[in-house]
Amino acid sequence: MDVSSLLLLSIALPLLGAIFIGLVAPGDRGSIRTVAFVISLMTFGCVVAVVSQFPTGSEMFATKSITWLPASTGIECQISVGLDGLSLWLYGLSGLLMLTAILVSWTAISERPALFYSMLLLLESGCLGVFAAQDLMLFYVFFEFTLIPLFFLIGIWGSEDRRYAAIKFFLFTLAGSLLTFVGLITLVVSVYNMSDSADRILTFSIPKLTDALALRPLDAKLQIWLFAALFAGFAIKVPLFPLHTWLPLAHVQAPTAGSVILAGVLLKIGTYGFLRFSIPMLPAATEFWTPWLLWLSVIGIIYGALVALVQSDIKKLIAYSSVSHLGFCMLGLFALNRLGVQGATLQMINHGISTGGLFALVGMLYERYHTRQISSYSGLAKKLPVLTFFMLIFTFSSIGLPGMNGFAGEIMILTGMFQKAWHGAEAVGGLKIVSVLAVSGVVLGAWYMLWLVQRVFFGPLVEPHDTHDHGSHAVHDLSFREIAALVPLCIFVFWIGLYPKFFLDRMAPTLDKSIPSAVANSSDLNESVAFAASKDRSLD
Amino acid sequence: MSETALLQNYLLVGSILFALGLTGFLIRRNLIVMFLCAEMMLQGVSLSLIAWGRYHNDWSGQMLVIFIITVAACEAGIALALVLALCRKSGSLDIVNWQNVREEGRMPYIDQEVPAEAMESEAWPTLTPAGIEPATDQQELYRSNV
Amino acid sequence: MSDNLIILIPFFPLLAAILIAILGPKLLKENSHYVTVLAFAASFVCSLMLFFSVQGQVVEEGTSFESVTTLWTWAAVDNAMIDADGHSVPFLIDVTLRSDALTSIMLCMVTFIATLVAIFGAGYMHGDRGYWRFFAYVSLFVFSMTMLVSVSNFLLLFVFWEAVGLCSYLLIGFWYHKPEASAAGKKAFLVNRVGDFGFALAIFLIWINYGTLNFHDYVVDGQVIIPGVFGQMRLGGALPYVQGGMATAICLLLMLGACGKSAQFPLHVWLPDAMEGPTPVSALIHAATMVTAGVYMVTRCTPLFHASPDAQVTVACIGGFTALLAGLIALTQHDLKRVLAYSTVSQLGYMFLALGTGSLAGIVAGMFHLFTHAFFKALLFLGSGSVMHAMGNVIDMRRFGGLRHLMPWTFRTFLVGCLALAGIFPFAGFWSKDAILASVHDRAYPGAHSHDSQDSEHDADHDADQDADDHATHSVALLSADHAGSNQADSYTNIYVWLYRSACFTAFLTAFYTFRAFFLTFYGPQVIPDESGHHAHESPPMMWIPLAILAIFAFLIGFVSELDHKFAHLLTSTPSLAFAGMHDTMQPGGFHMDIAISSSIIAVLGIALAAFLYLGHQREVEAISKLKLVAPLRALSLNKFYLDEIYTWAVVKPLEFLGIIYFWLDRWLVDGLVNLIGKVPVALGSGFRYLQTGLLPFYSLSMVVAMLILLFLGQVLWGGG
Repeated sequence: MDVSSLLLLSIALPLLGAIFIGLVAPGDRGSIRTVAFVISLMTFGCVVAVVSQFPTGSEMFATKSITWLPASTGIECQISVGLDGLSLWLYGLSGLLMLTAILVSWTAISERPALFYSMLLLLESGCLGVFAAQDLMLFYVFFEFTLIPLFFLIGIWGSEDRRYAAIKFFLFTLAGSLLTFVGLITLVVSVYNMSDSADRILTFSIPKLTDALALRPLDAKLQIWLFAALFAGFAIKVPLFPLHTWLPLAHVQAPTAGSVILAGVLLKIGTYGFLRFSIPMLPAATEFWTPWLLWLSVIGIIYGALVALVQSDIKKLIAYSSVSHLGFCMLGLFALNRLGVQGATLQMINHGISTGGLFALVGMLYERYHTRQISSYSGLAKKLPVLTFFMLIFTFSSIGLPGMNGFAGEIMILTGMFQKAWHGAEAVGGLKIVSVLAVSGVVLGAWYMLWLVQRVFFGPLVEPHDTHDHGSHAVHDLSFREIAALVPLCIFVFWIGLYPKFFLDRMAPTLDKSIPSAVANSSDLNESVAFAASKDRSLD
Repeated sequence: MSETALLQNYLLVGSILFALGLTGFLIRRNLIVMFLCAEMMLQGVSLSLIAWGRYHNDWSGQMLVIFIITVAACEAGIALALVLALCRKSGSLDIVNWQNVREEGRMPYIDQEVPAEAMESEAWPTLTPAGIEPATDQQELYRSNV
Repeated sequence: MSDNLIILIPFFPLLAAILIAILGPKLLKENSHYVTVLAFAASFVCSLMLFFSVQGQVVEEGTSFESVTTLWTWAAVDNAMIDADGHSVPFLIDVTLRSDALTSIMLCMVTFIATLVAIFGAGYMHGDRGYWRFFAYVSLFVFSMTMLVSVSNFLLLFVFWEAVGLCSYLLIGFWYHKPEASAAGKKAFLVNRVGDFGFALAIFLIWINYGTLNFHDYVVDGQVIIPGVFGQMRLGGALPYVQGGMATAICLLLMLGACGKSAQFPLHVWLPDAMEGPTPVSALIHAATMVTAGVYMVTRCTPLFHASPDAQVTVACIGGFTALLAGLIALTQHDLKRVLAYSTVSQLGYMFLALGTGSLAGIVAGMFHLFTHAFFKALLFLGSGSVMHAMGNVIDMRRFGGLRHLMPWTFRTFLVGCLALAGIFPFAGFWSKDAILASVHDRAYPGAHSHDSQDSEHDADHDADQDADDHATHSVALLSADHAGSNQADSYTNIYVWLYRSACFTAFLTAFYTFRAFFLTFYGPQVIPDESGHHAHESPPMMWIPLAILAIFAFLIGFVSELDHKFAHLLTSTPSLAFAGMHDTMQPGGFHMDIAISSSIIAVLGIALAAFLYLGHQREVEAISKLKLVAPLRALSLNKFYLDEIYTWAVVKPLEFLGIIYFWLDRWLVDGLVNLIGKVPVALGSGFRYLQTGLLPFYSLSMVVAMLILLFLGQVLWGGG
């Protein structure tokens, strides 16, 4: 089976699985979750098979197009998939996190399991599809499609305030993405209008649009408006300050699996959108909006960290930490140089892994004690050493301790940002402040996370009273299944931390293409090629 | 008769049909009557379509009318079934019986008091003695039930 | 050969850490220490071999030697930046280890002390629930520390800088069920993070200005492709160092990082709290090795600091002030370990003071003090650990006393450590402290230098170097007149004079508080707290033998290293110290007899005062502390100048308050706006909903009317269509 069919299969498999579970699956919980797990495992197998075959380079990989609208309509709108360096790891991450999501729901979900797991699988299909889509319409379909399963996941299996949270999450993101849709359609039509060849067609193909716009950019004023329209949807998804208020609510109310996927994958769609559409397609507008976005990002970093500091609810704390971390991603993206953009793309993966892991751990804690209040815990390290061990790993990963993944991303983002703010002709006073403030976010990040760990896991042992009411069952440390859910994430924590080059090498060529302004001029490029070659030789 | 004059006549009849149907639809409250009025509007439109088709000398007008007839047949089947169901439920064909699908807090429309139905004996006109005013209210005698 | 050694040295502890982490809880348990001790010993042997191989490579004085081993490429981004010359430079981070004099000295010191501490720890931690965990952490720490001193890249230095911080965090909070311990761990990590904030900024600025983060030149086929920050090309003067404000900024930010790790004012507050960790950890991490990382880093970055006299004087001031401040605080502490912790802060301040002189003599003196201090401070801490072990974890000096007969070995070795710390001839501390005072003196009184040299003429040890010294003196005198930047530097002379005086006073304080603690612990009537139970006896040989070994080193190491200026000569072969600009400043300092004598007198005075006050009934202490003038000062010292409180109220609380305000704003303003937008359709809808009458005739009528209006509008406004 060729790799592009595998790619299609990996998107279709969870979809079919969801239909199967929803319609014909056996009724009892045990077999449903096994079926769901097997399907997601098979999907992950496909994902690994696809990702492992990725050749380094900027070419689109594993492309496949199925005609949807006939060419005679004059509209090129296809079911077209493919991967490149930008989407590759995000695609892989989606497959990986879904395994964790299913494993952490194993015993937590007892109500309507069939619906739950089919929703999870639908969500997986949407997540994989949104990163693989190479057609604008298909991208948008998947983009919206991810909302619906999550809406139900939050609304049905969430905590006390779930309905409010679900509706807020849904409407907030939908409102933004409708504006994005208007922007995308306008973009497509403007490209069509701009072309003056006789056989022009209205194309929705993302690579073709990118190429066309790189060749002939749109009018700057139009670009600025288009950027704002795209911004609405993507920035809400990210979420960028001040559009973040849906996030803590949704995270707190969502079931663990929902939180894991929401933090791990869905937020990345926003940053992915910026890097896929806004930056390469609208260069003039990007330049115009960059200072604003950088300020918003850095405000988000500091603001998210400070608000996280005073939270009394563990999940809310981690949710605000996401606001802070995604601020770093945005900062790197809009540093608009190689270091920043590569760092930001790496940081998207990192955040998915570490925050996904943290949410999974909080879910495990909640399953045991039925409370998320920090004040009702203390000294759990004594009772749950293995859980504490994993908590420490993900905490340190999240605060960017060297040797773990967070560090690699953060350091590249900040170096890139510094380069933008301090180096050469483009050095600007305001941006210097931005860059220094951003670094201080690292200090705050350590503060709230370590404080959380200290309060919950260290000190004299205090367990919430709730468990005593339930009586008979004692609280056990992590089971084999729970460890199995976390270990793959841990592997990536250290893999990315110790050898980020593996990941960077595969994303670099694509990312270099998408930031045309930052690429060094061609004579230097040759020199650098020679450099890379000599480098390889010396390593051999 | 010129083509235009012919067209005008047809259109005139069509629009009269439509207007009658519309007026009936708006002022009557009997479900079946309203349905019939709607059909009448449809016929008015169909008639003008055919007239136009004849005038332009092509088949599209007639084609559309055939479509309309088909759809109208289906529609009639469904609509009458609905009417029947509604009638069974409320025991009456009055559309106002179904006004409870309204916003909360909105006052319901209440018919002005309908007087009790006249007895059959009283319903027939009787010869009145000359010079004496008739005892029964004429308006009430000839009032339809709905 | 040295390539393999430099890899093996960190490899053994890493292997031990992994082995214990995997096998510890089930298999090794009470035997975990064997793995650690063996690994550390192996590392130490390798370090020694490396040391001698480096020493062998340094053929003659004034040449530099380095050897670089690349393991793998951590990250590489081609064409990351276009530098000032218009070349595009890659962001290339190799995991590269280097062996040179500085590294090999640090490695020997770290692995040697780690080995002894591990042996001591096996006795000290005996029976602890987390026995294997302790050794896993310690192994991880030694791995990180050996990597820290051997990596050849700023980013990796930062990596292991944080990694040792992590180990420190884990080990301070080792008894995590103690709230103070976990709070102290968190505090240490966060204060270090503040320092790291500065360090990270410095790294970014270095990247922007130098286009690389490597120390060494990146060489392919014998051709330098990327000149490193401390590579031969730059050191040889072929490429300039950044000057001016940017240089000062880089250095000050580096210094901020060093302040965090090496507990210098204003970031010294974490170190005394770090004493919550097990005592062997205090000895290894918070006295001998990790806290010296800042000194190491500043020494490594000498060429950068050389470009900025402003930064140098700042370093000296921070060092001098910290030394004084910590000395004053140590005077009144009741907790034996805290006295030692403040003395560590103070001694580290000494080292920075020496580095801040900017002369080669000063830097060598600073490193020398680092080296000797490691031995005697580890000794003192382990000694206090031995006391603590016997006293059932009581460390308050008011609750025990007169232990000299009870614990003879601890007593003897502790005395050696105290003498070394006080700087009494011929103990290790004497030599290094003297070197520091001499270098500061030279800097403060440039004219007096020749006078000192004449004095040292009488010293028998210095015949061989005399010519060189004299020569250097003259050349310095000549150079200082027209040396670029020295005009500005001269305006700082006054500051150095004050720093010199304060350093002398600190020497007095050091001798005083050291012996105060010593007398309180070992003299007077024998007092034993109830907690000690059956432990109140000398510690087992496993614990006192390392003490004895350290005591021997604390006695000898200064003297041996000072023979023939061996230490100085080896150290100056480090590339960072052997660069062109540095040779001009000064030769390694000579031995100044007058300073040696005066500092010895000061130290003896300090000891005498301590003996007068604390031997016997301590009536005088009570009398003095009740004096109107002294009482508030004493309170100030006892409460650490209220710095913790100041930080809490000036930094921590305001930020938390800001967080609360932001959270409130988030809920009511930001989210409020969002909800307001959500309310608009609702408001509109609640108006229009009354049109929903439920009456079909009404609907149809409104439809017809609307239709008519539309038709009308279409006809009238847009002329039909």
